[in-house]
Order: sequence, then structure tokens, then C-alpha cells
Amino acid sequence: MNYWAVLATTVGIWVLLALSLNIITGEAGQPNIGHAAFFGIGAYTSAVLNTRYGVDFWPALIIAVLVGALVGALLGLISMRLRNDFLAITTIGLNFVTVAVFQTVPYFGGAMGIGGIRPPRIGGFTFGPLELALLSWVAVLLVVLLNYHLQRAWFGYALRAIRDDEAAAAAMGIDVRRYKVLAFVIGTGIAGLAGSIYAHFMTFISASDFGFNISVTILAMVVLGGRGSIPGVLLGGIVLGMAPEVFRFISDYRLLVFGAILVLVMRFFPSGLLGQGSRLREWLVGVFRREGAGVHVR
Amino acid sequence: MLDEAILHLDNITMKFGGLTALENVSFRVKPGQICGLIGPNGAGKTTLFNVICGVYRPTGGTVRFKGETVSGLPVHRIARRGIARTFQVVKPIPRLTVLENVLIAGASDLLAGTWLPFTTRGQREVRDRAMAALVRVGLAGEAHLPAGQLNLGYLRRLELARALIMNPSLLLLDEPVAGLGYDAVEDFLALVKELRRDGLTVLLVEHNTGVAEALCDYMLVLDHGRLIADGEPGRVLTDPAVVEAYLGKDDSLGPSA
Repeated sequence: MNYWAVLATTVGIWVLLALSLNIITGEAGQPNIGHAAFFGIGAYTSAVLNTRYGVDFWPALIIAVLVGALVGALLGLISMRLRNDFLAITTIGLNFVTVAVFQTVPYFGGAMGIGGIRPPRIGGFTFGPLELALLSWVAVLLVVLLNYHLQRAWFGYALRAIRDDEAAAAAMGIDVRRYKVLAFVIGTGIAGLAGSIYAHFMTFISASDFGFNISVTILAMVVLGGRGSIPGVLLGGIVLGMAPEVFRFISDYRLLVFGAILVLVMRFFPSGLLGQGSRLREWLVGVFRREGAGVHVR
Repeated sequence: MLDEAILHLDNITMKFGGLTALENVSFRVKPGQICGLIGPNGAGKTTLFNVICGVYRPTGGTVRFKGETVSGLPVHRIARRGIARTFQVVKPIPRLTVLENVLIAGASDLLAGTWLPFTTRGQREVRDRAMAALVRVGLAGEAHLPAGQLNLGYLRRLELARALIMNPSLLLLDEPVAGLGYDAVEDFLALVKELRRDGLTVLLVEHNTGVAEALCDYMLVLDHGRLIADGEPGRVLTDPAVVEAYLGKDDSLGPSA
């Protein structure tokens, strides 16, 4: 039971990260290949508050979200001046800088990382693996609902307009800068949330948990599932989040299989598994339509 | 009556590095006019549009709209003040439906409206206005198709609807009939004339002098970044300087021509 609860928590955190990156990269079309930096910022904020200042999980969680969002706002402000490739490189740089800071500054535990982070608790009750799994999936549910809400609101339309054509968006009266920054703020705030949950779930964190390879994995989840598609990104997060477990038996070849899956998906589903225009998505929609129609006739 | 003109360009100069794209261009557009901006390829017509819309900040001179200086404001601000435009190369948001494309331009930029879904009551009014704009340009039947599936003629109408929902006082059309077939051109011109009848002021970039002559009340001719003629279409098109800009110097044909 514990094994499954731990796996569920891990996958839930991955899904949170994928969903949060989807707002920035999938919806607003802004490249971000350093998303793990915000994951790390959230985790370290929460860990430092908890271990050094005795702040409980819940307030630490909120502060972690705010700090993640604040740094995201700064990156968003920079992104106004940078486009595509340059922004992508800046985000990669940000990831390396954050990791280096965590690794070298003694305040953040240096190379030893931070241990002894207390798990969340309510009153006298301390969360075990089961409650942590529940916590992470409640967070996933809330973030999914938020995502759907934003997608249906004008905000979501504005982001998609910016993604497809910034000049057209501006001509339609959309303040391109403001919405880019907002997309970064929301996305990185959620990454901070994931980081805080991660820190209190692991109880020990170190800089290497938030490295560039994590950023690439998060991006792969979004691309695999289908940029801008909420069910797709959920699926991408679950599939790639579980992959290390599923492919445990081939241990040394795990990364090889991992890479091969990505290449095949890109070849046969260029818009992701459930992205717009994907054959899998159209087939699923078709199946549900036919079944629905059948019921209707009877 | 210092400012009976709705749009007022005063000595606009636009330089890109060493290249002068526009040099001391000044003109006015009066309310209710269809004003045509013509000129050969590379004359600076689209650059001038981009200066008016705020895509470029002019190197020199000012643009005034309804008596207020707008040059230097960002694009979206100028759009909200009432200058709407279409693009020479159409820019639909292909994955959204036709209706959604128009909704984006119609929704308020106020913070509250930003977070509400279009199904809520306050936003339903926007939906109604979007539908009305589509009816006006004759696209109501296509409202729920993805914009990416429309042909060029329909896309140009979509851009027009997107401009109309913003309730503009001035409409900038950048070669709105380029690439359209004969019938589509006729339909589009009829539509623009209808808009003028409703009191909209139109500034139109046009490559084809025939189309411009048929539509415009007033005409401006640009060549190599300078305004070389302006006035009534009939008079402007026979102006020797304009003929020369389009066809080259007369004496190259020789004395016998």
C-alpha cells in the first residue's frame, strides 16, 4: 500500500509540474526549458521556512507559491524583450543558476541539501504516505479546475491569440506583455506549489533534484500529451511520471526506451497524444460520438 | 476648426538604420471619408500603416487621432482608442472558431472580464456583439467553424468583423482585396461602402488603382516614402508625377510615342 501511495504522490507532483508548464508553453506559447528552477525555488522556500524558522507546512506552502510566482513575474518581465530561442536559452540559464545557488550557498545547505523537513500536519495529526498522496491529487484536481476555468475565460483566449500571432493579438487590443507576465506568474506559482509538496513529502531535498534534466522531462510531458490540451498533459504527466517504475526491469536501458518513446510519438503524433488534430484524439472523439448516438437511438 | 480631421499626420519620418522608409509625410483624414493610400511596391504604404497603429514609433513627427497624440503609445492602447486594422497577410487564430476569433477582440480588457468564462451573464453581451459583427460581414453561417478552414475571402471578412467589434472610429484596411476573385472583390467593396454609410472612416491601402478609384473619396499617393500627390481620385490618377511613379518617365518612350 505504501509503495502505491508513494508512487501516486510522485506522479501527482509530476502532473502538477506538467500542468503548470502547460499554461506558459502550451497556452501562451512561451518556451520555458528551465521550469525545474521554479519547482526548486518552491521546494527550497518551503524547506528553509520549515527547518530554519519552524514555519508549518501550510503557511510555508502559500509562501512557496508566492515566491515561485514572484520569480516567474521577473522572468516574464524579461521575456517581453526576448523572443523564442533567446527566451528558451534564458530559461535554461536560470535553471543552472538556481541549481548552482542551492548547491553552493551554505544558507541553502550547500551540497548537503536540506534534511529534516517535517511532513504536513493538521492539529496533532501528521500526514502519512496515504494522506500525502491524497494531498497531491487534491492539488492536481484544483489545478485542473483552474486550468479549465482559465481556458474558457477571456484570459485563455488572449493567451492563445498571443501564442499564434502576437501582432494580431495586439491589434485586437490585447496587452501582450501583461498576459505573458500573467501566464508566467500563474505557471511558476503552481510549480512553487509542487515544490513545497515535494519538499515535505521527501523530507530531504538537494539541488540535483531540480536540475536541467527535470526541466526537460517536464517539457517532454507537455509535448507528449499535447501542448494546450489539459487531458493530454494529464496523460503525459502520468505516463512519463510512471515510466521509471514501469521500466524498472530494464534498468540500464531505461533512458534509451524513454527517448525512443519520445521520438516515436513525435514522429506519429506531432501535436502530442491528445493535442489538437491528433489521430488518437479524433479516434476517441469518434468512438464516444458513436456510442452516444447509439444510446440516443434506443 | 483646427481639428475637423479625425486622423492627423504631421511630418512623419520613419528611418530604419540608414534607410528612410517615410519622409515628412503629412496628411489629414476627414470623418466619414474613404481615403485611399496608393503607391508602387515598396513606397512605404504598410510602413505608414504600422506607424499609425503603433507597431513602429516614428523617428520624427506625430500622429494625432481625434485631436490627441497617439504616436508612442503601444499597439493595444491605440486599438482600444478606436483605430482598428486588418492585415495584408491575414492573421486568424486558426485553432479557434470564427466566433471565438471575434470574441477575443470584443471582450473588455478590464480585470474582472478577463477571468470570467464567456458563458456568464456579463460576457454574454460580448457574444451577442460578436455574432452581430459576423452577421454584418456575412459570416454568421460559419460562426462555429475553425478559422483555419476558411478560404481567403472569408478570412478577410473575419478580420473585418474582428475590427468592427472593437467599435472603431477609424478602420485601416491593408490591401483588403489582394488575392480575391472578381466576385469576392465586388462583395467586399460593397461591404466597405455600407460601412461608410454607417459613418465609419476608412483608410485603405490599395495596390490596384482601379479598385481605389472605385471606392475612395480622397486619395494619397506615396512613392519612395514621400507623399507625391493627394486629392480627388480622378485628378490624382492623371497627375503626371503619379503616372511617372507607376509607369516611369514619359521620355523613355521616345518622341514618336
